[in-house]
Amino acid sequence: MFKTKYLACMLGLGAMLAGPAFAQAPGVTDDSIKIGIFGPMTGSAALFGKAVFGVEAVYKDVNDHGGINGRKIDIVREDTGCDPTRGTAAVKKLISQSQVFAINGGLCSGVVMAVKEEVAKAGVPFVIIGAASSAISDPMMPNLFHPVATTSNVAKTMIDFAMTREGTKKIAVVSHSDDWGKSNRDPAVDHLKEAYGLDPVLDLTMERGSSDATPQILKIRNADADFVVLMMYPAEVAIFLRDAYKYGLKVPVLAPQSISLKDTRERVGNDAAVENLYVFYPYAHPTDSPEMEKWGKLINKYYPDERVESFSYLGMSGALAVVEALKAAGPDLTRQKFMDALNDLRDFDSGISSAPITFTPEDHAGIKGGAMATLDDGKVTVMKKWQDK
Amino acid sequence: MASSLLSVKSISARYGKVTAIEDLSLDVGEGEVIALLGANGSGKTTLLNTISGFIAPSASSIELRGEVISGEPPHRVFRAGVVQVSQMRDLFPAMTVLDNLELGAVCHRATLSRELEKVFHYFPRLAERRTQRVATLSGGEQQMVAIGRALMGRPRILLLDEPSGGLAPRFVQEIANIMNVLKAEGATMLIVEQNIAMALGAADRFYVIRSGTIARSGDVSELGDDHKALAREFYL
Amino acid sequence: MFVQLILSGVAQGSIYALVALGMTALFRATTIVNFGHGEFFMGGAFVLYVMINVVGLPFLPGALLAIVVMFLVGMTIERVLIRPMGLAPHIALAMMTVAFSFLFRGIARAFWGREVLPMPAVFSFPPIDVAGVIITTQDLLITGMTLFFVVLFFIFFQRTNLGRIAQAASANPRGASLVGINVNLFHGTMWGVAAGLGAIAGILVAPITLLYPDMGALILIKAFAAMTLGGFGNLGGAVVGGLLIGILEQLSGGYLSTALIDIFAYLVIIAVLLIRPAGLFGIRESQRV
Ligand SMILES: Nc1ncnc2c1ncn2[C@@H]1O[C@H](COP(=O)(O)OP(=O)(O)OP(=O)(O)O)[C@@H](O)[C@H]1O
Ligand SMILES: [Mg+2]
Repeated sequence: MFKTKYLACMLGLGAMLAGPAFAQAPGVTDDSIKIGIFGPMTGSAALFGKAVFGVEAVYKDVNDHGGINGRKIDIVREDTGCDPTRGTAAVKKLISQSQVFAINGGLCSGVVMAVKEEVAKAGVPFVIIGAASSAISDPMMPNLFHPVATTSNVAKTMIDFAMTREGTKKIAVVSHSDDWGKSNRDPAVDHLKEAYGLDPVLDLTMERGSSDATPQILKIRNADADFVVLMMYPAEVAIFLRDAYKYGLKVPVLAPQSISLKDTRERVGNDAAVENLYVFYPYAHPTDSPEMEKWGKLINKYYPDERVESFSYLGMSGALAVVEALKAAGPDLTRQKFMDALNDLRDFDSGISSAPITFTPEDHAGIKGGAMATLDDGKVTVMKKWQDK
Repeated sequence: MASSLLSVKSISARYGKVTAIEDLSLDVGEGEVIALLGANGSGKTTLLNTISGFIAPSASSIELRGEVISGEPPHRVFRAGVVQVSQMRDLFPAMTVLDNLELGAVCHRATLSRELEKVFHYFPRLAERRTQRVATLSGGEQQMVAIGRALMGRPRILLLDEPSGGLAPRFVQEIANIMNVLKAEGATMLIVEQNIAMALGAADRFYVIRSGTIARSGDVSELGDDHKALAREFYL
Repeated sequence: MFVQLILSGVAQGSIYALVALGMTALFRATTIVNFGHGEFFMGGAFVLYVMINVVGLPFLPGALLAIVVMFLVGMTIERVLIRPMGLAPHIALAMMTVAFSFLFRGIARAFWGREVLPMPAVFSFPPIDVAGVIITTQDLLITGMTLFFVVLFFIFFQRTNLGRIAQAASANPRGASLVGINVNLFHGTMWGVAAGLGAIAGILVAPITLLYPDMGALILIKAFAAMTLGGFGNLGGAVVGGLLIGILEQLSGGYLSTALIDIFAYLVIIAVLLIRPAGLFGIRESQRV
């Protein structure tokens, strides 16, 4: 008897909490939902911060079209400088000071790994913008969603692509020796071993900030490699290609999704030098296609001075998934309902990412599969196999 | 007294909170040779450095022929004709004798060779060692380079800070001779010295500085044979 | 492979040499170790970028203007930040250089934070193949220009009257004042010259590397390694040290491990300090330090 009364009391309280005019979930009011965004807006990795504007443009566009269930999205942005310490401070601030409903942030895997625990403790729904390390969503964390092609997914795609060419035996790997480089290199080398029983013919490093790749190129030339896998940042990839061209190294070069074909061509300043470059392509269409330009225009509508780049789109499909889940969660918005809605997301096709997003309660690595792209007569061509060219 | 060339008008100078010179005045007439005497730490070097513009005086002024030079940086004071041979000599040790002397005339390129000839005439030892690096010269020879370098700058008034300091008697004598030669040629000089006999040998007048102020002054001729008493009074 | 590595090492080393030379000249003149020197390098490249891409100048006038701008920046730093510190202790002056180095990076980030800028390629002649050894115009240009500026610098300092004045004022600023040299102006000029040399290095690599606000940090370490190897404070040593670091980096990368390339500079600093602290050409100048 007492028990049921107690239960009723609890239920009553629960109903009151959920009631529209009374206390709502953190960061939610009758007409707004506060979403925290963080990324490297300054510092050496600030190029990736471009994705933040893509995400914000999605939310602003939603607001201009009436919001979600009568609520507008209220954006709070923090800069991490890609520095884990700053990132932790930024996330703490978003959670306890700004009291956001959910967080959509993170382009540097180091920062995301550093803030994971904090976010897990707070139970705030956390959707990643673009940080790609597989360790972010593996093992799975219930309130963290990863709508990004992970490093192991990218590495797998790159290696499989190389192996579609007949007779591929010698794959050379060149990577940065920092965490980012390792987190990209390791899955590629592992996959090569597990799936094909091969070791890299060369396993080289090239540090960030290098302005020369002569020793690496000469070694690769001597080893007569079939493919080169570059796990490096845009600047160093450009330098590598420039030097490869200079020394007449004509081996196909594979690079991860952080590399933009056109940007690299611009940096190298030479069409011939990027002829042999193939990059993991996170998008469904070439960046200069009308399908993608539509999204670029959206970014420039809200940020007219922003130079839209291939990174700019990186977090947009994730943001669209957030919007979708917020809608599905209904007017009585709670964090749990929102996360339930995310977990129900199946084959969500934003038209932006190369593969649709699927979350299940067991797996939050939302994107599986992908494609490679290369420049063919100056045009981005998306391909699945070597023979597609 | 001849017309005043350099007049120091009740200046004070301090290092941080320490006052090294207080309300000090002195005058140097055109063509005069003045001896400035005083114990260690009495403020002699400070006074010369204040005149030369290395230390900013905190009150009143220093004038050269009626033009205020206090507040000007050292190179301006030099160009106005106030040339100091400092206690540390401040030569360029890695360079040759000739380089050092020529650098003394960077502001007077036109008369360089004439002045150089003069200096070598005063100091034949330097002529012999013109290509030797200054760092390898003896102390007395270095002092000659320092004086020579100052003369290359065609001074209106020469400030000499202990020119005989640390030198062997033979060199002291040689420096004293030069002082007399310069005096005979009409040079205006303010000589700081511990060696009273030498200072007074060439001087027309003297000032005694104690704890940063002038304690006594007068004509050397009136002093007679009183050197010893003067020494006892101020150095002991 | 050996010859190829040496060639690219010389080109790399030339850049280190220019930066190290500027730092050494400034150190000799002012006894200040300038931790902001990498930002002169970065500044040169960025100002060139602005001249070409914003102002719309061709490369050559843009480069000359960039050098002039950086010269003035160097002089301004001396006048506004260093001179007012007067006779402050060395550590305070060094801290000031650290401070303005971060200030400059901050300014660059404020304008170009999210961008890593490509510079339009200046001379894209195809590489020349000489009996299997590849030579590029860029490398030739870098090495040639470095040689030119280094020779110019040494002729100026050792053969001209102004150079002799500079040497004197470096060796003994007080002595220089005593012969009528404007030592403040000299220090300002040396800041300008140092900034100019750093800028030249930045301008030479700008077309082949990419510009980002932190690009000066790495070059600073290489320049320190070059200076240490050549003997801290030795002008010729800085140049030789820079070239050697460039060559050894390449050789160690080519023959040992590519992982060595970037820790090489640190290894050199440590090894030299332990084995031969005075460096290759170190002479003890008693009045220094
Ligand atoms: N740079 C300085 N900082 C602080 N105090 C100083 C400095 N230079 C000199 N002093 C002090 O000022 C006073 C005067 O020094 P100064 O060198 O002028 O004496 P001096 O008469 O030339 O002595 P000496 O005969 O030993 O050369 C001394 O008490 C000295 O300790
Ligand atoms: Mg003294």
